[in-house]
Amino acid sequence: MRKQLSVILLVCWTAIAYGQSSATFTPDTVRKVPAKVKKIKSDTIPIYQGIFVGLDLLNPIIGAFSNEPLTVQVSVEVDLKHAYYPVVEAGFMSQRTDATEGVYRYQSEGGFGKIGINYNPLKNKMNQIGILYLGIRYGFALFNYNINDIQLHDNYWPGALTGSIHIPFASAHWGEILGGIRVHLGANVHMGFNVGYRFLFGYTNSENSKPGYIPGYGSISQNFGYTYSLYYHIP
Amino acid sequence: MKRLSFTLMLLILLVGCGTTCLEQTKGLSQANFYSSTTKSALSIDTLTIKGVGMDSALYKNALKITLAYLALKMDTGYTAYQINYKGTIDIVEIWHQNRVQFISNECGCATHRTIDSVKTTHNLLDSITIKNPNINGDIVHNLSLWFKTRP
Repeated sequence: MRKQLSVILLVCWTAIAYGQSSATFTPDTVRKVPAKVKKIKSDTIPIYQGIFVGLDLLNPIIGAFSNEPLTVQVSVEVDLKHAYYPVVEAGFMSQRTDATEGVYRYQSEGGFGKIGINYNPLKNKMNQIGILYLGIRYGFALFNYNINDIQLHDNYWPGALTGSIHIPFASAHWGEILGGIRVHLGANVHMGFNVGYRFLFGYTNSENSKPGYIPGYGSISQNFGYTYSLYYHIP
Repeated sequence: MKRLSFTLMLLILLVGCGTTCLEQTKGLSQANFYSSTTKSALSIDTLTIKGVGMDSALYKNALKITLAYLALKMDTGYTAYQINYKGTIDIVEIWHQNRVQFISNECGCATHRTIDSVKTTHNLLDSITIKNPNINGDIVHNLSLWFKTRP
């Protein structure tokens, strides 16, 4: 819930920032720009338009100030004709829940990679503000997890069942569809937000557990994921 | 672009619907009552079920019950219950394996069990049988208690 609230606040901030950047264009200025200039035929655009290198800012902040996993993710995107953006993403996750939070401690660490592509459906309506895009991803992760200090009690009988679960090697892979916006802040710096719907293809399912968190995917019981990234555009 | 931002925010608000914890975490065994004479389900009045060695009863003079959820011990693999019907008492013994199971972040850990064997005295009960030995959080019929009834 805290994560979702943070995301909503950040989205609101994006909308406000966008509104402020739009306000710098006076009505007179806008009227003076011929409509034809704003539309550029895709055939006139060279194929290679540079590379975007991004760093997700949202999930490290959430991980640092909540019980959610600490996830760091970087991305590299190639801009092809301002329409197609093949992308590679990679990162790592570390999760450690406090023993006082429940009757067990969950610890997990691992790395992940994603490949995919973004598509800008408004490629012919280029403007100076940014882009919106739809994308798909294929993600995979390699990780370990340990569930320690498990204590289970019964409401009727005294005594407790204690134990631990150690899974030294686990893997998972999934697909993701997403949508996002990216705003040009100035110079070669951009900032963007995306929300993705993730669906697991498979994961290591041991006899006595399934992973609670998957690097790059998040909590196994959640399908939505978010990033809020800062990008540097290399022309 | 502004419309897109609004749509995204709406989408995020809809994500607030969390998952529910469907699986039980206590691992109770379900024992259904039957008549050994008619081989049909049985409803019993004033039945008391108490754990052997316990002061409190799990069911005390329960009315018109057709089944009971029997909690099994966590720290050992042996659980015994005293079943009392109007002063006639039987002892039901259950041997089982306990193991921890991580269900999910929301539900936490659970006790999953396997019933190995069962045994009973025969004052009130004719027999006890295992219907399904696995207790894994789903509500299933695990044990059958066959009561002696008049034809």
